[in-house]
Amino acid sequence: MAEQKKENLLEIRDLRVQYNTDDAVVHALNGFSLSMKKGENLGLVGETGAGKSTMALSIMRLLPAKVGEITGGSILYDGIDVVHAPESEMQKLRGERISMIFQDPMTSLNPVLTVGKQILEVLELHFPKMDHEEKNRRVDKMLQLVGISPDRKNEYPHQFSGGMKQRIVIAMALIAEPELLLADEPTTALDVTIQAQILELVRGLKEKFNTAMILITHDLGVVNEVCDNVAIVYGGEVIESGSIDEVYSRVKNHPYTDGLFKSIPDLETNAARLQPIPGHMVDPTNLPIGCKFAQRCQHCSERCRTEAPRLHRVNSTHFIKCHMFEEDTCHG
Amino acid sequence: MFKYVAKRLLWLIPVVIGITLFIFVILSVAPGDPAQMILGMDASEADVEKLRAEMGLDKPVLVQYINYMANVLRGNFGTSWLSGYKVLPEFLHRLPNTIALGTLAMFFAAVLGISLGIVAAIRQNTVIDYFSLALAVLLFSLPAFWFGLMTQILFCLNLGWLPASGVGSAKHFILPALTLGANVLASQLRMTRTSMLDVVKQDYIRTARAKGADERRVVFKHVLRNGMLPVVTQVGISYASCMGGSIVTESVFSIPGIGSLLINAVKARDIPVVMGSIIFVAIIVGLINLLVDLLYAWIDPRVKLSK
Repeated sequence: MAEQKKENLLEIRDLRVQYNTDDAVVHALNGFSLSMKKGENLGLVGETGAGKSTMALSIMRLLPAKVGEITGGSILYDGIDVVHAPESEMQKLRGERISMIFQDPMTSLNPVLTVGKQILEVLELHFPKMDHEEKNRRVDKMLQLVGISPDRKNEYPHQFSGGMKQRIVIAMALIAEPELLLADEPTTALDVTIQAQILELVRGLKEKFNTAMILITHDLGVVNEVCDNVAIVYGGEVIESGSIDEVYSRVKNHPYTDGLFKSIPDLETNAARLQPIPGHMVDPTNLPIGCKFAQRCQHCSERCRTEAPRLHRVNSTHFIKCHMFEEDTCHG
Repeated sequence: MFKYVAKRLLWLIPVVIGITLFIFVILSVAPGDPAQMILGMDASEADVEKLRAEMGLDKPVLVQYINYMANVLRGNFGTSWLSGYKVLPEFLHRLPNTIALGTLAMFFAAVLGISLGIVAAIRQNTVIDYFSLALAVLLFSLPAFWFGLMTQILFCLNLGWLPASGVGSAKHFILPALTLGANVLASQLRMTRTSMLDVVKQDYIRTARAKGADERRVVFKHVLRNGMLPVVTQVGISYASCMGGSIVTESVFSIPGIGSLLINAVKARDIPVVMGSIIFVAIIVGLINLLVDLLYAWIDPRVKLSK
């Protein structure tokens, strides 16, 4: 166990996060567990509201102040207890060792600062001793890497298109060469034509800097292209995780994962209609006692409604949280 | 930039013409005859008619206006119908008082209001925040004449630190500036707080935190400049309105400024004084607005000056 912890870059155990709003308590993460090795590419897939972004913000400890609250569980990042670390230690972690690409590039850049200054700020914060010229050289080089002419570094965000803004955000996230990149739906707000470019860029750069990445998305196709492993999230917990091959082979899947695959249009089979998953996302203000997917599941039994399933181990790397796979469990 | 400023200055000409024409027409159609007022109620009809002809009041309004503006362009702002003094020297004599009072009040209100607003936003829902809210409500609700009198009683009568009225030294302006600025301070405090809290919620603030910036840097480098945009506009508007003279404050502290000049002239239908004051105030307000726009463009790169 101790050995395993050592090689894991990130270890999230039974994380519980809730948002205390005026109207209700929203249970965003309910026993979320995840582990990641150095250099690994993990795809995190789930519907809107499944808790994917909350997980990313928890790792950075950037949950909205006073509203977002970690109520249980642990996050261990390279031996650092993120839940209890002092703020100064988190500040050192953010931007230098863990960085994040946000969903909407239109609003993630400060409108009154030049893009060059905003990228430079990361270096100013984390490498105060670095020579000023060296910092500027690095900014120029980084801009070039993301495909933006360094001549434009004195321009303001509003002078760039959405795709270019996202490139700037990526430059900002990678300039300190972090160990872990949290990409929270980096292409959702962009044109389809730009999406592929941005993903290619992120993939190329993370390989260059040997950065581990959690790619948050609701697109199973994107995960297949970019990631080594995948975790499917539903109702604030990981309901299935495994390597791309294991999950995408469709031999054994959680009913929800199965539903996700069935709702993707496939060019090869000639299906007349897609098969969407019936019903809506579970209400995070009013969670059921049993399996959170029970009310939408075709294989739902009485047990599913009353007893929450445990994580069953299909093989050493493939896990499914569903009563149906109980017989697969090989304990140990 | 230079072109923009020149253009804006040229635009002042139609603005001044528009304002003066409007005021001139209003004053001429308002009831009451200036000639009658000058001569008194028991003057004979013939005398009044004679004076009206002398003053040019028998001519059509537009002709009167053009005659007046032609004189203004020659530098002749006329003499007060009521007291016979020359308008321009009297105005220039009073203007420094109004500018000093307004500027000091704005400075005091802006510095204190904005800093308290920032602190209230950073320490949202703490004692400091509630205190600043209470202070703002208090300052906003106190009428200037009462607040002015109270400061006079406290600082002049009881403590003897400051003069109660008149002009002459910098000390004379402290109490009036406090009185005039109290209201503005309150609104700037609330505006700054609201605006800062709004900016804190923006995505780019989260980005700044994600880079590893500490709270101090987040507030002063990322929140403040964005949060100042609506505040700058408000400071400009308040400053411009101070330049029109602050009648209550000037009366309470017996300060010979534009406000008292203007209000007396309007009451007596003393057209040359009203018109002269209006022209100057319009130009000053125009200049302040230009200044605010330049400042705004300097803070927010998205604002383009030239069109």
